Amino acid sequence: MTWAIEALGLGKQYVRGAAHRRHIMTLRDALAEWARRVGGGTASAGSAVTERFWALNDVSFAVEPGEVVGIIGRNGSGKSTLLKIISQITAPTVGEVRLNGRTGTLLEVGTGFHHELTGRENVFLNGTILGMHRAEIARKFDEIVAFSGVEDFIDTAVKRYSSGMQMRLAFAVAAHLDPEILVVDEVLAVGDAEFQKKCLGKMEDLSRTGRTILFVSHNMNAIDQLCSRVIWINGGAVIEDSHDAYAVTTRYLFGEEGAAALKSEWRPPVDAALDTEYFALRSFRARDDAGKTITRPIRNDEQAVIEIALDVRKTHPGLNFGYSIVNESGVRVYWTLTTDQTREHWPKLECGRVTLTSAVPKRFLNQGLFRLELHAGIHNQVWFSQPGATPYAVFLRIAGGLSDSPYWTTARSGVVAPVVSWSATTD
Amino acid sequence: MSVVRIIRPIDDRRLIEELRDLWRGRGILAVLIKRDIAVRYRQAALGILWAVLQPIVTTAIFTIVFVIFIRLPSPGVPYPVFAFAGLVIWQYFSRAVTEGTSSLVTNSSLITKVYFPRIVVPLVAPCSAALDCLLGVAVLLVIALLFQAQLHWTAVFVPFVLLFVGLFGYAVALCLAPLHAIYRDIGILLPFTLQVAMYLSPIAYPASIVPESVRWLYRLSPVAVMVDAMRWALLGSEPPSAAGVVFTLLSTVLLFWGGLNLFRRVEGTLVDRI
Repeated sequence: MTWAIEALGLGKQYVRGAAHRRHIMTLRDALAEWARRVGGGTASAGSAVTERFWALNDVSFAVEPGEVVGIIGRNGSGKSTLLKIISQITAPTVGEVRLNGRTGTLLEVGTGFHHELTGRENVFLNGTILGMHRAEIARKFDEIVAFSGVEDFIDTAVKRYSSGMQMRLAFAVAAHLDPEILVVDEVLAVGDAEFQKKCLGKMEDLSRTGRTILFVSHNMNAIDQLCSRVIWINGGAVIEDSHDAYAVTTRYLFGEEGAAALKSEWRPPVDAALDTEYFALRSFRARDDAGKTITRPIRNDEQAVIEIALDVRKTHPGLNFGYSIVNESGVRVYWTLTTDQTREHWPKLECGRVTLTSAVPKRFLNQGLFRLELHAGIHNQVWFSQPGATPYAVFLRIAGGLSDSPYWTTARSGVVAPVVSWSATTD
Repeated sequence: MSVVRIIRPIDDRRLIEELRDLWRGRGILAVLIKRDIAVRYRQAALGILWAVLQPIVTTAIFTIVFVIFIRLPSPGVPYPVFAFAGLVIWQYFSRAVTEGTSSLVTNSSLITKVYFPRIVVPLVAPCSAALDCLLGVAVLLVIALLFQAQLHWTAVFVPFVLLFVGLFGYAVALCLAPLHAIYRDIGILLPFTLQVAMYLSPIAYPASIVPESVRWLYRLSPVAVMVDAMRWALLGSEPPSAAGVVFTLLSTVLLFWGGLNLFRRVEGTLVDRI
């Protein structure tokens, strides 16, 4: 098997000490240290002596050609160091990396742009620095400019560009880099949603044509969408390396316990069943149209159905069920009961097994994680399962599908994200 | 797949790989030189004229001070031609060294974000400054005609002298650039050192006015050798001493070898310390 990327026992040690804390070490410091070492042996004070730490420690992994690997981890976990080593910006202290194929790195959009030069000159400058040959850039020049959408300003100095224009041009160059291995750091952190979409779209195109991509991002939705494999780095070491991207990103976002709690189905445990005089709760779940419990994030234009299964023991005119949906910030997005409409529309609750279903509105929820809390009670009398204080809850995660507009691909601002239609009348 | 790249700790890199890097980085070198030149003259109203104005003014001042005030004995050729020839070489050398030394720091935004052979970075200044230097030589020819100085057939060697000055400047920059990246003191020390070096070198005056007891130093000094070589080639004055040429060649090789070694050792972790 030829790997595209193979890291073997990779480690990077940094020096953290009095001198280095100031970043710029002066010649005087160096001479003083040298004199101390020559004169007094190792007798210098412990605190002044440099302290070493491993930013990356014994990291090994192998990536197959064509894999799209997401690298996740908190700030300072070592993922940027890893990328810097792979892109040859800094050397490892131990271990080695083998790269099989032409490698392009994009650690920051716009690297190497010079403000005094025109867009055209910068395309050539930037392209060469990123590793393209002149003839190659010339061949792709029109395509690059078209992709960037700054045709009219291509012979204007880049310093006159808006930052958005610079970004588009820079990304256009990088996107046409055409390497076999592409290493991309958090490029999604910059730019508007349209730019991000273009960026993601281009990377998807690249991965479809068999390019190997190493992608660092804090945007877990992008990781879920793009990556076939996720490597989670913490404290300089790989703590998880899995092809189940969703499972890893969920654990990353919500922790081990949080991830375990992220179920979209509730079934009665032996000791904690909701068992009352009027009914017993058999199950509470979010399912798809086909009846399968939802276990993955869904797009907001996908249908989710809330299903409450009950054994009704005794009827009561005030008996009602429902759920409310709470977002990550704790905001109750809406609440609904079986008695929302006029009386003739209320579902009949007769003795025996009853399954209540209710479709979650499509094209309505914003991106994110939602907690669906079961409501059960008798109007004006009692809560069996009270909103905000109920253990009977399931989760639903919405990712993508927010609208057909090119402008919105990630979370929209606002609590909800309905697609509202517009029309114009001209007199 | 054709390209296999292995990334290892820096201690494993060999000197030959540095030289190979230099060759591999030629495309980027060309682009960086072009950028350097374009940026330098893009916004200046007098543009490329600045390149020649500076030595002309300096020569004028030298002429006033040394010929009119001090009444320096004639160096054998018209003084302005003599001084300008020295200045062209000196300015080329000093720009190559100054800009070459700071190159790693001024390009740090590039170096910390994308990989390309770093060894080409200190070479950009010696190459882009060569354009100014060539213009200076053109002006020198005009001045020589104006003052009716006798041009010598050896003028065909001038390009080689310039090439050598560039190489020597690169060798010095190669040693200083990694040091400057780590210890910024170099940046403060260098302009001052260069200024002292200029006054100590036979640029505004001929080495013949120097006391006999220290003249051997003038014969060995690489800067003096290069300036003498330029005057010899163009104006047919006394050639640099054989000992001086040998010493200069040796020190260039030594500096180049030392610079390559230093670069090789620092290169891998430069980004962490810059």
